Amino acid sequence: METLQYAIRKLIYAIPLLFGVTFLSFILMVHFGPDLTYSILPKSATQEQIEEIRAELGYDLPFLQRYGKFMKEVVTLDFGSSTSSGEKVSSILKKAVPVSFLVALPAFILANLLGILLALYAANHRGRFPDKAVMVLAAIGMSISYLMVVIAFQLIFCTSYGLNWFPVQGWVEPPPDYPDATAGEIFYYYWYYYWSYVAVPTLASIFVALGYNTRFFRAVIVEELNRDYVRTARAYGVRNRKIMMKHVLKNAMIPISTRIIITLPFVVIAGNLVVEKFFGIPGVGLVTYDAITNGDLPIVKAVVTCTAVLYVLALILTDIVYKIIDPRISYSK
Amino acid sequence: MEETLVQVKDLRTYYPIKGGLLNRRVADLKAVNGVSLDIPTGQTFGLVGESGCGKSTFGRSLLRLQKVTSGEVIIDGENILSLDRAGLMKARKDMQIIFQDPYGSLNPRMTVREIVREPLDTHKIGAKADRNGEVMRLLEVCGLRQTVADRYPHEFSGGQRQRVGIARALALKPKFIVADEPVSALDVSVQSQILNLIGDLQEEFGISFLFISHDLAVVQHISHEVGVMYFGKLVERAPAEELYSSPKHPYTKTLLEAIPQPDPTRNRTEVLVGGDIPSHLDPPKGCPFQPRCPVAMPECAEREPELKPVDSDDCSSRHQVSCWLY
Repeated sequence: METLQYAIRKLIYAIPLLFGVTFLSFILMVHFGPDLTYSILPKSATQEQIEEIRAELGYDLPFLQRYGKFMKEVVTLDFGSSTSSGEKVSSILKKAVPVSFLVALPAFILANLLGILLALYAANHRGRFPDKAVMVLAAIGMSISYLMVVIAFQLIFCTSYGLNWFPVQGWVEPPPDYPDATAGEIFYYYWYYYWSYVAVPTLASIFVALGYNTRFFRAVIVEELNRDYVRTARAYGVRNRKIMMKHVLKNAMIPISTRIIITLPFVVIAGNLVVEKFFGIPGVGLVTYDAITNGDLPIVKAVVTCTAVLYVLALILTDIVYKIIDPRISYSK
Repeated sequence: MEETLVQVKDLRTYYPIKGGLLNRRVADLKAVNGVSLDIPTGQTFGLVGESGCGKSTFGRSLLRLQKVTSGEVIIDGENILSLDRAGLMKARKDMQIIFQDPYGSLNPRMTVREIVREPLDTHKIGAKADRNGEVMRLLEVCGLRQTVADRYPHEFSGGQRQRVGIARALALKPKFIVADEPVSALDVSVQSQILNLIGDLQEEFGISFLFISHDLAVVQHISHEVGVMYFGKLVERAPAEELYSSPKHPYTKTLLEAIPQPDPTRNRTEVLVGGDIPSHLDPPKGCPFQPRCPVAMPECAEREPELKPVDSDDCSSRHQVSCWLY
């Protein structure tokens, strides 16, 4: 109950923040955004034609009115139709978000889980060889460009130069229509193709994220390890594994969970431009990429606004999670 | 003579100093450089010294919380430093530590009940159902009301936290407790409460204490014997009253001078020592105190004195000093 009150208060506090974030989005994307007038019109357009188009696109409205229109779109979550395909933005995103989610989720979970395990391992041997080995590998992982990783993994796993195990690009198609296919067979079809398309992007994402995660988590855990209560626990003979789990990891979970939750919006909506573009996965990342290159403002507006709002929500979620896992944070403040 | 519970022989703890191109060990920081002492059952040995003289390292080394370079620590007939895992686990029941910082030594995510109970669970002492009662008894012994058991450490004052720390240390009924500056972080009025508590517990349970402090005044009230540590070594040790009434080593005298006295007419001989502890990387030749010593002689810069009885005729004397003056 008190946690609920706390959550509601946090939500109320977030309202000014949401205003600020959407205002900035408006300034950057709409006010200074792309001007489609001349790409729509033929080369020798008359002044009347230009003005007609500008009125149609709403470019001639004064600043505040444009802002009002934008805010109306944000609040109703109705960003109109894509200027390139004419499809409703909401239906485009409805298709793209689950795809992005399915692509990013395995990498997200594994990169964090492996990061914590490696960090625990390194911190447990801090200063000695295993620690240094892990840290050097993490630094290498951080230093290699995402693009290079994607290309290298595609060469290794998806081409006849390498193992040729997976398709280079694409996404799961609906199964061919066999009338006597059982539910199990259909599930197996989806399962099989899902992994064949997701495996390499997942590996690439893990490769890139793992270095950062491990280094961050290790730093947090080492800080916890140096605390007096860890030393006291050793003094009365608590076993190392129990110390790592009960005293160290539990306390380290506060900064660790912050980092994990903060990256959630990217998994849900912002997608991953590079991965989805290179692997031809029709998720939010690819949709956004195409929208930016085509100047398709409604889609860009929707994606950026949703990302910003989700980010704010993730911050609130962090506060609430803090509240639950850290008894020191009181309800009243 | 009383039975000796803790015996330390020539304990040395060095920290490696790494440097150079390959980050090899280039020298040793001799934090504890050959300390010997013994503590009888049920008595308190007060260990005093400036910050950085190695007294905390010494305390941790005794309990094997710190890797020791050489020496022997015999507690209740067992050489702690040569025990294997299982043996050490058993020995841990007999020795405990109380830390200086009552804020840092309690896990903020555990309630007082869980904190005090953890040692019992770790060593599987008593039936599970009885442990709760034992926790309550310990809290009461340490002057805490039982209603506090389900609170978190951040809800307590420094003195109360230190009581929780002491309750936890008592949980295993140890024979020996290292108290590493247990009152330095507390207000003076709370200090005396905690010191009294420690004194009472010692009387009641016959526990031996190694009481580490930078404050001679604190140690005076609680110790049977006092050792003064400087630069990783004991420079003087004596029964408490004797050390305070007739200090021998110039360093001890300086420390005693530094205790504020509520007597404005007291004749202060200004022998206050300036300067800092010498660098461990470049220790002075001869006696380590010689660069700061007000009464240094030429001899002091050449050879290092050893800890010897003050009265060379009386070999049983427990008053020992390492200074060329005696």
